[in-house]
Amino acid sequence: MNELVQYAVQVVAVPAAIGAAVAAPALFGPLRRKAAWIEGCVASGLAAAFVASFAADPGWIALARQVAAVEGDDGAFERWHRPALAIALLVPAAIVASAWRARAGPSKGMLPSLGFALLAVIGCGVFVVLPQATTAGQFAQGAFVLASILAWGVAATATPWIGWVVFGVLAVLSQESGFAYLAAMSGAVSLSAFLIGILSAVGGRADRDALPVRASGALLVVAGTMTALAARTGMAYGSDAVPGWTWVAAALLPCASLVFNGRAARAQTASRRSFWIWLPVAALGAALLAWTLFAGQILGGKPGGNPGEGGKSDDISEMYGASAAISPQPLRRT
Amino acid sequence: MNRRASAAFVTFTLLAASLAFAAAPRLPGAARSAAPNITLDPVHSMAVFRVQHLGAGYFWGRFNALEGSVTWPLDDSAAPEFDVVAKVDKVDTGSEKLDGNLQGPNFFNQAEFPTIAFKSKSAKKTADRRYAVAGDLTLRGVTKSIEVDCTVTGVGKGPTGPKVGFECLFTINRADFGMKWGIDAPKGALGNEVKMVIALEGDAAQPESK
Repeated sequence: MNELVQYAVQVVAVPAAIGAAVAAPALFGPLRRKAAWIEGCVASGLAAAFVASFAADPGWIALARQVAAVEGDDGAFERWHRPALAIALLVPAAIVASAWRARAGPSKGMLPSLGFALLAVIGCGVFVVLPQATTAGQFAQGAFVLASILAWGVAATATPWIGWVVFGVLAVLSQESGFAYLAAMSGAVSLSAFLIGILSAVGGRADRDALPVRASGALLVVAGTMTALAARTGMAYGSDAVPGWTWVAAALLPCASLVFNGRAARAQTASRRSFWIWLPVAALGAALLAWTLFAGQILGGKPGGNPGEGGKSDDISEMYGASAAISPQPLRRT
Repeated sequence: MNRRASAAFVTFTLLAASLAFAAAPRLPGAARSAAPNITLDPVHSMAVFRVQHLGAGYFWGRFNALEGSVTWPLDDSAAPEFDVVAKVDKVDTGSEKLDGNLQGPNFFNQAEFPTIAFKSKSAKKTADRRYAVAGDLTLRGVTKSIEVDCTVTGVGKGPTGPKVGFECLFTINRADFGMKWGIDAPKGALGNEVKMVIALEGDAAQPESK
């Protein structure tokens, strides 16, 4: 197998399958009738896909190094590994919050979710410290996580499909900005969300009382936190090829799900047959959103670029040597 | 008589002290303090690196504008001491996209480790104006001891004083410094072994005598 394809399988396809496998128990059978468990398993699955990709490359040891010194490891402590650790913590936290929510019942069901959201916002503000951090910046980071959680609230039943689009956009932005690790991790979450979307549609057709996958509770918190952390990490480490505002716009993309909310809800239940009609619409919507974002990025970030510099598809090829795009000017980062 | 005796005593004491100072064994530091400090000229100092791409050709890039200093007596009576810093944001491959990739977390992680530093610790003369210099290379937050083959390429006359040039060669395995992307995953995208050629030029200034 081609080494690049093998790598993509290792850091994107396998982690995405792991994520879908974690979510699967709640997409079929009796758990598909329990909203809290659907949220918990899907949330856990999305976070697991991100972490599994990180574990594949750069590896578990980089994650372990964040917690304690590892014998025989002389690698440097890197701050960008911290968001991955935070997302790893979300895997069990989502299940715990969902179990608590299921136990609390409908009357007190909001409390575990609110507590989880509060923990995520404060945790990301205090615990995830990226380069050039300031106190005000950490407050802004917490607020960004909160805004992202709220944005995901709009996604409602379109959550898996929106996850596919949003993390797909983040993956491409990461690749554009020279951050291949983040591109792989975001790509894994995007593919996992797509697989979860397919599984939820299939599972929903098998059971008349099946509930749709809805962005609420733990799923809302996990999706929002992951999106904000991925965007924030890309913003802190990516090259100037992707302007900062693009990352913020990508994180708030779930708001655009208002466009397809109704169709997504219908696609996940047995009584409707709109799934196969909706799928191409979603793909078209995704392509449109991505195109708008990249068009904006190119217009905003590359005024007067030389031929071969601002191309949106030449970074991968340059890394792999297929492009002859040469810039006469060295990059000047500030 | 007393005045004469006092003058003779003072003269003798001063003479003895001068002779004792002149005869005292010189410490290594004493020799180094006499060596001129050479301040690197960033315009004429650069590091060129070479790494194999896809198991095929060698890909070259460079770090522009190296900064730092070298201590070396122009008569080659002692080994040079290097303290050189390269800034990651000065990496230049001729492709803006590739520069961005190299500055990112997959490679140099400029946001967290903005500089690469080499500080020499000892040196052994291997030929006239040529030394095997041992020192610490700090790259991507990891410090490792390396040996560098350094040659004094020449001493010339500049508008403000002597100009001194050095060329230093060494090879590292980038994985030793935590830069592993492209070695095993994706396999063979970029080689592990990186050959470095460092070209330094600086202005020599004699230290002020006290």
